[in-house]
Amino acid sequence: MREIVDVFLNTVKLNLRNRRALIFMILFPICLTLILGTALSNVGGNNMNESLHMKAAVVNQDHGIMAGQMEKFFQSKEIKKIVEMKTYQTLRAAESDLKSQKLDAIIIINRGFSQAAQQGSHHQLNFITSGDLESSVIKSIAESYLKRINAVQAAASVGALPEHTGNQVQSGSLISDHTLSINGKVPKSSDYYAVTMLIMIILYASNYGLDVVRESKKSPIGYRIRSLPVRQMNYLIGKTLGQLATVFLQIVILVTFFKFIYHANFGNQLGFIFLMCFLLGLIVILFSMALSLFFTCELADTLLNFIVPIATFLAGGYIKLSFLETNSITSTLRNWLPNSLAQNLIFQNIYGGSGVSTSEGILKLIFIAGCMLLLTAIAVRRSKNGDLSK
Amino acid sequence: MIIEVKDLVKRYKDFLAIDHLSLTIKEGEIFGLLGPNGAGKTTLTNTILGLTAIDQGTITVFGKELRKHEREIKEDIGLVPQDIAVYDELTAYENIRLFGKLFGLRGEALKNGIDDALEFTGLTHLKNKKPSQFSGGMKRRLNIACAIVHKPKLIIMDEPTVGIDPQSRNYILESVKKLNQLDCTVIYISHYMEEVAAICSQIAIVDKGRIIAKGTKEELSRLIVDDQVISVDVEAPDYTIIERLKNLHGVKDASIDGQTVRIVLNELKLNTVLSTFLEEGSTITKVATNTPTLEDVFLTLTGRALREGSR
Repeated sequence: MREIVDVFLNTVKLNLRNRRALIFMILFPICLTLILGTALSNVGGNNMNESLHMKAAVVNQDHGIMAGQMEKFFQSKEIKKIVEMKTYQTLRAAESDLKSQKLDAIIIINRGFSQAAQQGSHHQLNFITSGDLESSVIKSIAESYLKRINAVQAAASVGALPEHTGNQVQSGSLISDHTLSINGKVPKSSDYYAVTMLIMIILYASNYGLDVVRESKKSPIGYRIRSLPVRQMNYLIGKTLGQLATVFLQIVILVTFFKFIYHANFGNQLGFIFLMCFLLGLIVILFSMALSLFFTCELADTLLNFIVPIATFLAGGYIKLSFLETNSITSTLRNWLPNSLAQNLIFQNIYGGSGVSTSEGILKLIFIAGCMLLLTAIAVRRSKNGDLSK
Repeated sequence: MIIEVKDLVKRYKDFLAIDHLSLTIKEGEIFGLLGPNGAGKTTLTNTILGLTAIDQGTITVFGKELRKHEREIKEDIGLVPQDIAVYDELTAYENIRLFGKLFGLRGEALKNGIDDALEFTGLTHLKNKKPSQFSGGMKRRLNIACAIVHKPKLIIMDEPTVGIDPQSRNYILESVKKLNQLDCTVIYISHYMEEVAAICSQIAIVDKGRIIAKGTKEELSRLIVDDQVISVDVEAPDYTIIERLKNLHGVKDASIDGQTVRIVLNELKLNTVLSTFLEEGSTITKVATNTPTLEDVFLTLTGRALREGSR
């Protein structure tokens, strides 16, 4: 245990003295965020409603009083400023447009919706979404309105409001109400890039993983350390934990800068953000270690130089492309890419939405981290059985 | 015996790196290991340190079988690798402290170990400087300091004087002698024959994974004591002369180095050798006869110059 602590502390000390790596890991994402955030906010303007271009379909299968009220609400001027709503007669037609990316979401008012609402029994809207940020906003607006109707209905049923108002909720009052405000629900470009660049730089922590293998297998220091009465596994654990701690420290510095100096929106649950970043950092370091142990450090380095930008692109780190979310291949990839998962979970945590279930996403990340740990352990064992050379 | 190696075999696929090698090293010796690149010196060192799995044989260090007591044995060994193995980001003091800790030292023992290592290598006044500010010789001394912080019973030094100035080299050679006087057994691996001859009490010549000769400097020289070594300088020497000379009865070895042809012979007369040169049409510019040195012993036994393949 003392060996692990000694190697851990030494690794952190060495990393903190490596100015070049620190500058890259901290200043690079800050500069990129400043450049991309500023450049794209000028192009898109500050009106995020316009830049989002949200499009939704309403499929009314109920045709009751409440359903009609909902439909009317979706067609109101205030809503049209935010979302382009279109009523579809059939679900099939709407689904077809969703598949061809003409829509971000479909809101389905099920048969029996009005009756259930009036009787106070369970009723809800159904959604089919592309899973992107826009669809989350649409869902949020629709659910907010439904909650408002329910609240008014409940108030009316206990005599707090005249009975007739239950079916006539004024949308105007809702628009000014917080339930329909998209403020804080959609990231500005600076907010968006603060998160995506943070995720991207964690991918570059792969260099720290490579460094563990480089030092232990290729450098004279590794040769000396193998001659010491130190268990190789303890040394690797200490070294890996030291690298992970360094990356985590960099994450804390970056989030602190983005949140408190750059004033990017990181929500109120920093613990959750740090947990996601920690899991991603662990996965990245273990993956790069396994890669360099199975192949060579040089080959692993080259592969990672390809993998990191591709993974960042697929997650929408450089630019948000809706086809990545709707295309079945890229969508599946995004569902399992650790950086994409962590990024989506962070966005959901900050802005709401339900693209990925939080618990499912975290479990997926833990599962991937477990697989990487297993893979690295196999790689270490395999290399231990091989011959070590200077 | 501090080290006893019996019938050691190590293969790298089809390459036989160690070929049924047996070796004993007594406590208190400065044991020199000589051999060209690829001779098996490093592989032998790695097996003694438990860094390379062996295919056959047994290794006993400090009277304990290495396979069973590897960690325990390593606590009393200090390795000075050929390449400088210190962290550039840490000061000399921090480097020695780190390796001291990894040897299990703590508290007063660690502090004393660091101070002694710094003093022994003459780096006390530079303890707060980083290796990047050191000369090549100072870096080599720090490399040694990191290996002696725990006061080992056995030190393995792999080419500790490569690429340094004569002053630092002398300092290191004197340090090796001093370490030995402090009851430390030293295995000294070098290409520099004169260094080995100057400080080693026992010398083993390794070639093709085998020990082809072992003994004191005098004992090794005696192996070719009846031989005569002749150096003949010629203008534009032709390599065909080597083959002709080697075919002569009484010539044990012939090699060429620049314009000098070196011949080891035991029965032949000098004039027969010179006649061969003249028959080849060579123009002789200088002839010298020498007493065999350790280099000559090595050349005769291995047929190769020691630094032929040196790094």
